[in-house]
Amino acid sequence: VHRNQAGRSWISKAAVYALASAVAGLVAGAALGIVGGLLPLDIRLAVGSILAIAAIAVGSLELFGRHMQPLQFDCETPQRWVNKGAWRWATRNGLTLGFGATSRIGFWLWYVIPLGAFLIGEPVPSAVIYGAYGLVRALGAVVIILGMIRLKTDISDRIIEGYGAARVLTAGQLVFLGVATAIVVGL
Amino acid sequence: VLTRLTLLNALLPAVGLGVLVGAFARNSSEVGWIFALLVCSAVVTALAQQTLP
Repeated sequence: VHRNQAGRSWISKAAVYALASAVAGLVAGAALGIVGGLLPLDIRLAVGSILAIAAIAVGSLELFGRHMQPLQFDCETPQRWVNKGAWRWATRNGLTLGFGATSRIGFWLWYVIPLGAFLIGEPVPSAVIYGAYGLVRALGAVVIILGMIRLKTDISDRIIEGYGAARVLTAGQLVFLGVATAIVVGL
Repeated sequence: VLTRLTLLNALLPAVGLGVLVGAFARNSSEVGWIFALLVCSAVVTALAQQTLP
């Protein structure tokens, strides 16, 4: 009974964490979409074209092995939040990671999310883009923890070892997005 | 060797796929395609960030 109660409690905190992360993304995306919508479409298309070229350049440099650290607050969420209680930790951590900008970003591809939400210029699609990020970021951590519980082994080191492959994947995605966007809006 | 492998395995497919999708999107719903690509990028970013320490 105790184990079931602990399990249920863990799942509800994970749900709050994921929900907070998704809400942070949805709100940030909607706000960026509203602000972006104030700009004329021609300007957004011009900015989008320039950013598409920048994405190709940055992604290609990464793939050529010239790693450039993205501009970021290179830190985790504060450890002291754990002392505020599990529910508040889940909520605060979810909100912070779902927004993303105030903690470690790690990949240039992250910038596509706020910039894309801004340039789309409509609250609902922009919220969906940023909200998808927030939801998947939180659910990813939940799935990893569930996997560790199921496998009864700590796989966190193996996941961190995948950073190099993740860099290649995100750089490739950046080039892919840049080329496609340049063709659609720029050329 | 690493650079050549990376080029072949990542850069060329990324450029090729981008050209294909871009050309296809130009002849259909442009906004819909860009939106789908942005959602895809958001998901890829969130998954990649799981590898951050």
